[in-house]
Parts: sequence; structure tokens; C-alpha cells
Amino acid sequence: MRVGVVTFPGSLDDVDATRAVRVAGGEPVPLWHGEGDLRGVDAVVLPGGFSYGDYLRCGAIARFAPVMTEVVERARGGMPVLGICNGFQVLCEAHLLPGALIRNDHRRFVCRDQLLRIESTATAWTSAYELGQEIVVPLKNGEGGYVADEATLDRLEGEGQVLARYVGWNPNGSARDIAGICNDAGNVVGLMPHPEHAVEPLCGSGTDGLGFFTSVLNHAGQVGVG
Amino acid sequence: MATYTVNPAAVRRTTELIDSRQYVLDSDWGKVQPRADAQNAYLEKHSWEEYAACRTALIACVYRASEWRHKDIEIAAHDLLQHLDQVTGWRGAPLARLRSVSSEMGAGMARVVVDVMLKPEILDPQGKAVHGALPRLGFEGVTDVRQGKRFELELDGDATPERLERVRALAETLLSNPVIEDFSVRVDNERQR
Repeated sequence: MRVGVVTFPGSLDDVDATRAVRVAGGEPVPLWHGEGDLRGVDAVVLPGGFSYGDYLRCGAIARFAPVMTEVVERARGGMPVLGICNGFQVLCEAHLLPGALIRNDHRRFVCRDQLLRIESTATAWTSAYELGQEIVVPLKNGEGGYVADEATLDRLEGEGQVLARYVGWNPNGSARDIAGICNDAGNVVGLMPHPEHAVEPLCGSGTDGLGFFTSVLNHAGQVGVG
Repeated sequence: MATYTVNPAAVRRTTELIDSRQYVLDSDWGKVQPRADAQNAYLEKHSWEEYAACRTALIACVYRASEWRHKDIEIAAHDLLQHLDQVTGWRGAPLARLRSVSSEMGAGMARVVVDVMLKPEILDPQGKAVHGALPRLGFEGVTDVRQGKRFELELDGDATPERLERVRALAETLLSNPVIEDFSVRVDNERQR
């Protein structure tokens, strides 16, 4: 399975995401922000970082990069897309996911191994986990506070679109401890913590993040994409 | 010990010399010529060396006078340098002059201002940080601070209702995120002639 990883100007974690795809058993395909061609990939990861220096708003300019036209179109058609951190911000700016991410309520950048609880396994990127499973993955953000109006939050919770919550400590003031959400079809996932940094024991943060990447490979098997 | 003072007669004479070249420029090219053309014309009529030498002398004078703390001489030389550059159309000629030329030629230029603010119900940590700093600086009586963004859009013509509608679409699409922000659009009347 071919999983594209987009590099925007200012992306930081594209190389780690590429490696995570490979460790999980997929074929990573580097995608360049300035090109409209998705090179026949079956899924796309929008990695973490500071695309366009976080100018204007985080993810606001990356959303209009040439590569995003087809990402948005194919995401609406069911292609799995995972936005991590800055990628989550891009997905919200592109209106593929509801809500927005604002500056951490305590105003400090936070970098830590974060405990999460998986609250939905019915998505393209979380099927490898057990419902209610607690995992630890690194978290590092300055603008990771998830916000949406109350009606949207109620709908997300009611429809099972909250896929992960912070456990023990809410590190950025996110509404209802939300760490990650998906769209109503479950193929588009936004996640503030960084599973791609927790796929090999050598790196010291465990391997709990690997499930996101093995999930999408399984998902491809289920829907007949190889 | 030597003394240094500004010689008013010399300043006047230098100004006249610069102005006399202005006369050459104007009579040949008129006021509405773009600056680059005017400068090229000047350089065609006067050798590059002649112009550069005059400029270099003034720059040297500014530096030297500044270095030796002869403030009045530094300022006089600085003013002459600005005058020379303005007359010869060197880059940095006041924008106001360009604008007035442009409006004389009938081309309207409007500035449209877009203000973007976080919606009232959205937490504004930056505003809170600013607010928190006020008492430390001795500013009393401010109960809250909200931080926003201001965009100034220069249009190449008048701010017609159609163009303002386009600006609104732009504000809604890119300049603001309607999920968390409100925006307002207005024409900066001081700039629209």
C-alpha cells in the first residue's frame, strides 16, 4: 500500500512519518506541496511542523497549496487522510474536519509523553487499537487547543467522532479533553499528539503509535486497495 | 583646535545646483515620468561619475560629521542628500509624491482595511498575556485585552461595491477562520481620494 507523506515549507515530521509508514509495512511516497499530483497513493499523511511559519493562522496557507486540491477531493471520496499536529490544523482550515485549534490556554509550548485513551476504533487510522485502550505517544505543540461550538462538540461525541482523549492532564486546554477527531465517514483523522514518534523502541517513547499506521494498511486490505 | 560649522551659503549653493538639475529633468521629461526613466534621463545628461561623486561626497560628509559629533553638519548634509535623491528620482522618493502623480492622472487608489478578531467566546491567550503585563508596567484600569489582526489591502482602483464584495470573500476564505474569528471590512477614507 502506498502512503503519501506531504512536505510543506516548514514541515518537520515528514521524515518520521515516512519512517513510521515503512516500519508499519507500507510503502511511503514523498509528496511535494507544490505539485498537484498524488502519485497514485492510497492514503495521505499531513505531518507535523510549522508550515509557512504558522503565518496568518496555523495551517491556513498550507491549505491552499497545490497538493491540497486533490487531497481534499480524494478525502471527500473516502481516501484515508491522517493529519498530525500541524496536519490536524491544515485539515481544520480545509474544512475536512470541524472546529479549529488555538493557542494552548496556559500559553506555553508543551513537549511530553502524553497518555491518551482511544475512544473510537471505527476509523481508518485506529482500527488496530482496542476501544478504551490507553496509549502513550509524544505530544509537542503551542497551538493545540481544540475548539468548536457546543453543538459541534455534542455531535462529535454523539456520532463517535472523538477518537482519542487526553488522560490525566489536558495539555493545551482542548475542549472536552479532545486529542483527535475524525470526519463522519471515519477516513479523515486529525490528531494533535505524534504517533509517528512512537514506532520504534530505540527512540525511547515506546511503540504505541504504530497502530495508527498499521490500521490504515488493514483498512486498505478491507476495502480492496493494495 | 579646528572648529566646524555649517556654512549656510554653501548649503544654499548646493541646493541650487541640485535644483538646477531638477529643471533639466522637468523640462525634458515632465512630472509624470516614472522615477526609473527620470533617473536614466538624468544619467544620460550627466555622467554617472558626476552624479555618483556628488552623492558619495554627501554620504561621506554625513558619516564623518556623525562620527565626529558635528550634529548640525550631519543634518545639513543628510538633508542635502535627501534633496538630491528626491530631485533625481532615486529610490526612496516620498510615496506621497507618487500617489499625487497617480491621482492627477486619474488612477484612483483605495486602501481597504480588514480587521479580524477572535469571537468573544473563544479564549484569547495572547490578549491575556498582554493584559497580565499591564500592571507590571504601571497601567491601571484596563479590565481586559483582546488581540486581533489588521490587514491593509491596497487596491489599484476605486473601492467599488463589487470589489468590496470580493474583499469580503477573501476575508472569509483566507484572512479569517469563521469558525473562531469575526472580521469587518472598511474603506480607509483618508487614503481614498
